[in-house]
Amino acid sequence: MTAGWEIMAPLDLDKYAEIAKQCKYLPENDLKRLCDYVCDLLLEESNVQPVSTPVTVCGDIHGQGDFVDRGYYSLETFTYLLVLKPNGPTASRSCVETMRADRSPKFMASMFVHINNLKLICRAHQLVHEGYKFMFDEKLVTVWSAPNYCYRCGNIASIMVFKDANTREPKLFRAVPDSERVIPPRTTTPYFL
Amino acid sequence: MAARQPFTDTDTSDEAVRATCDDATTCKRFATSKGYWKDPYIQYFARSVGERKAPEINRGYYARVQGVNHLLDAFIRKAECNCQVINVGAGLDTTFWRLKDENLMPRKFFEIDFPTVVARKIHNIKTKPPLSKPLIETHSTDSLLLDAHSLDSDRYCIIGADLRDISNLDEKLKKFQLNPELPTLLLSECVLVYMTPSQSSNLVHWAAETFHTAMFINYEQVNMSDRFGQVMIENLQRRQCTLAGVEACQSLDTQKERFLKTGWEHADALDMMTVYSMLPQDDVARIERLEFLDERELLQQLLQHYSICWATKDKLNLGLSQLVF
Repeated sequence: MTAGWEIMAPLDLDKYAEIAKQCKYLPENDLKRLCDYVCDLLLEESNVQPVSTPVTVCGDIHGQGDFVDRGYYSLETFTYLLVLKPNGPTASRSCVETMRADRSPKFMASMFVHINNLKLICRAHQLVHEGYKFMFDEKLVTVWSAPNYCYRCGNIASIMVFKDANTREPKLFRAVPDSERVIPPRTTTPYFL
Repeated sequence: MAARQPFTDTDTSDEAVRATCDDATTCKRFATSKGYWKDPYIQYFARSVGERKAPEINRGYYARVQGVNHLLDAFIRKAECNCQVINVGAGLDTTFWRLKDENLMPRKFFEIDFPTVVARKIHNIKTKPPLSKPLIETHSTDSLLLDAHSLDSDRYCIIGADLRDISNLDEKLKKFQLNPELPTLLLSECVLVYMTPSQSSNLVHWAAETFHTAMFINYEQVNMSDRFGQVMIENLQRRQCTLAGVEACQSLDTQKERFLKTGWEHADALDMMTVYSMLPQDDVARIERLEFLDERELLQQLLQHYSICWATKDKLNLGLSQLVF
């Protein structure tokens, strides 16, 4: 008599990685299994996850390669990130900043940095036309990694490379020129016409 | 036997311009299906709701429709319906039916677009009672005057014509009882930008010459000399759509200038971000709750690159230059 439990083949991460690297997405059941697997990994991590330098910080990528919106290849990009997760990058969820009505963002950032003995707050989730932007006496930097966001914004993107806690270097990049990219046929132009 | 003319650049470009009518219709169809505003007639021009559109696109079309309607309705009220409306490049617009429902019909409502677009619209009108009934109801005889590229009734007339051929346009409008003595509102939404500055100049000049009391409302791009503008020009060029008139879209001043230098007495222009902030804010709050917009700057960037410009001349002293938001 069976216990009624399905016996499944082990997750073939290498095969999934091969598919994702070709900018393709997985069959639905495989993607679901991959999601479940990564969920288990994320649940084991704490909200604050230590990493050691050297480290490269990336901001939002939106399927120009966002988590499933705003780029033609959002699903493929998301799949690729899932495949990378077991071996590597630390995905940060959105940093929740609680601000009292009477305190300015600058004050809160300075206080947070001081109390936690930090050198810098590095965050994403906000469009920056120049790719990265330092604020609040360089206590905070926003890193944005989606060039020409929505294929319309015309912005530059960046990643921030930390050799060590004191040595940082932004690397800027533009969107791939039209002549070098594949644009799927069914797309509505994102303007008012 | 004459050889068929090969497809010229203008033909391809014109085809791409005609296709923008579908973009506008499907976006409005989607936005209305989500509850941004009510349009019970658009479903007869775009059967299915179609693909999801981004929230900033829905909000932007809301601002466009509300903004244009505000000025249009104010003009009609000022003239106490004793006026005409000419919607140039009207596409599959449903304003005529809205005005009838709201008892704000002008004496006559004219629409002009490319013959193939008009033929499609006429087909829809003929085959859908909710569209044809209001025309028949407001017509004095049993039959409407109809051919492949025009439909004429007492209160509504649609004409297939090329807006770049002014003499032909003038002739057709007069054939369908256009009355130059009536206060007239002309409306163009993303139309002038597709023709050269010289061609659009001829059109707005013709309007200033033809009507002594009139308003011209123009909605289209503005502030186009930046990176965003450059990307838009490239994106649209990629689908063979040329913004031939983008020179007039450099700033609010250039938008006003094109009217002031062609015989219009007065001109005002606002970018759509400003218009959005001047719309009734309780309704704006309502539509902002319909969908979450993850990045407010996306809406801002779009709205800052579109404007409404309205020009007036007012021999009858109706107070047209005082119509504002």
